[in-house]
Amino acid sequence: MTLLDGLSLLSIASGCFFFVAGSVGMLRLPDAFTRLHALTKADSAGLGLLVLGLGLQADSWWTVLRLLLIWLLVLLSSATTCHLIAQSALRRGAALRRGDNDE
Amino acid sequence: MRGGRKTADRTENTDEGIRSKAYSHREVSTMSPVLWILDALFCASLLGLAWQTLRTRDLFKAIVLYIVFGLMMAMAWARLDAPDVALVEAAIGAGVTGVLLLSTLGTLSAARGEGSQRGGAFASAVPVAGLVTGLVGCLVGVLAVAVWQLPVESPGLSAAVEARQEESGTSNPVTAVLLNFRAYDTLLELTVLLLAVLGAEVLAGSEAAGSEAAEGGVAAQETAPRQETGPRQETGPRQETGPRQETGTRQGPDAQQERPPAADRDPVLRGFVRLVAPAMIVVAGYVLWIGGEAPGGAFPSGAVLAAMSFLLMLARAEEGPRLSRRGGRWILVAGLIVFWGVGIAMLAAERRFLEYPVPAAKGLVLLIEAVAAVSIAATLVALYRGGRLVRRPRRTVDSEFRS
Repeated sequence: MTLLDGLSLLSIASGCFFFVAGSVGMLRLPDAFTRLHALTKADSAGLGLLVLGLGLQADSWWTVLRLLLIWLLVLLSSATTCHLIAQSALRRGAALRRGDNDE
Repeated sequence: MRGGRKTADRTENTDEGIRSKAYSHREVSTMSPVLWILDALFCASLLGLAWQTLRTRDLFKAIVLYIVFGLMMAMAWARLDAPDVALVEAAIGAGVTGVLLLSTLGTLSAARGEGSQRGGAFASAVPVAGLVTGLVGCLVGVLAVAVWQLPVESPGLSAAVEARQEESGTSNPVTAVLLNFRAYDTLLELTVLLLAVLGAEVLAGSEAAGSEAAEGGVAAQETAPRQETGPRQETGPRQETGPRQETGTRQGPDAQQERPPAADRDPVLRGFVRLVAPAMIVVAGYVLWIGGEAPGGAFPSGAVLAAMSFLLMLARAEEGPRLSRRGGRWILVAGLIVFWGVGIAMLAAERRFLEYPVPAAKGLVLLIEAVAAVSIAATLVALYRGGRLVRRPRRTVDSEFRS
């Protein structure tokens, strides 16, 4: 196993960690807004790390470019979707949870 | 992937089918336990999702589950080395069908008022449901037995396809089968799509000839797919306030009475669509072109174009070249016209119907696919709009243009 393999393993593993954390967050967090927060982290950081790990293994720059493009498009659409869902939740008065330790 | 769409379809609905395909296409002996676990997870989650989709009483939830099911199904196809089917399943099975179902739900709740679609009508249908379940169970059993008796290594016609691959004009066996060797099938598939649009148009036309209620329903549903808890809240009162998309956020809920002009509706969504729509056109072209040598082709490409149109409609960013209704109809049938045209041209050249000459095969396949992709996109959009690609005139500008 070369250094490159190690780096890409590390990157993919941490990407997977973000996805797991995001899923746990979506299941466990109390309201729509905090869930969105957890989900979009998984989308952006998790996928970014996966793309990084896969890019290190790619055999041509063309593949790296396409992977990056996929990441960019997902970033765009996940940010937009998050905004739209949050907005619609806010508009219809989803309860903003104001607990003791979150402001 | 050799077997492609045709053979794969047959075994689609059974667990055993998925399993046996996976085994027959890979070197079985070295199947690692990780892959085995992955397959087991796929099967379990597909069955679980299907059950949840059928079981849930909330129609909106059922649709979302169905979309998730479609995505998982696409991943299962990819796992079975059938990326063509996976592409189509993701784009049409999960994407477009999901949008259609959501818009139907939007129209239903707009027409009936809140809450009535929550499965009340189905409560009395329990005996029927039991009967149907029983029948489906029997069918699945028969299919399972049939699949079980198939030889494990079933090459089908892949050797024959491979032998004549050179002559087909493409290096992707699936495209070779769909657009050359068995082009009849694809021709008839396109015909079925067109018939579906005609059916939708006839039904929609008889339902609401000139009624504004239907238009209201269509307008209400357009925001539906983006929303989290469902379009069922989008009922009457909201429609009357018109531009409901953006009232609350920028000025706060107190300022809801002020209506921003339509062009200023969701700036974020509009900006996103502006960025992404051109990219989607490029992707559609890429998918179409790559179909010649790798998974892709007219159907996924058309689905991407249709998805772009849905986005444009959601963002109300439809300013573009305006079509006349007649022009819209031409676009709907263009794919079939070109397909038939090529077929008949072959007859005129003293060949058989749709028998392309080898040197021209690549060009002809690409021509048919390109036009078919546009027609397929138009068909999906027309289905979404109740059978019409172009809406009936509403404003004077439109009717002036049409004159």
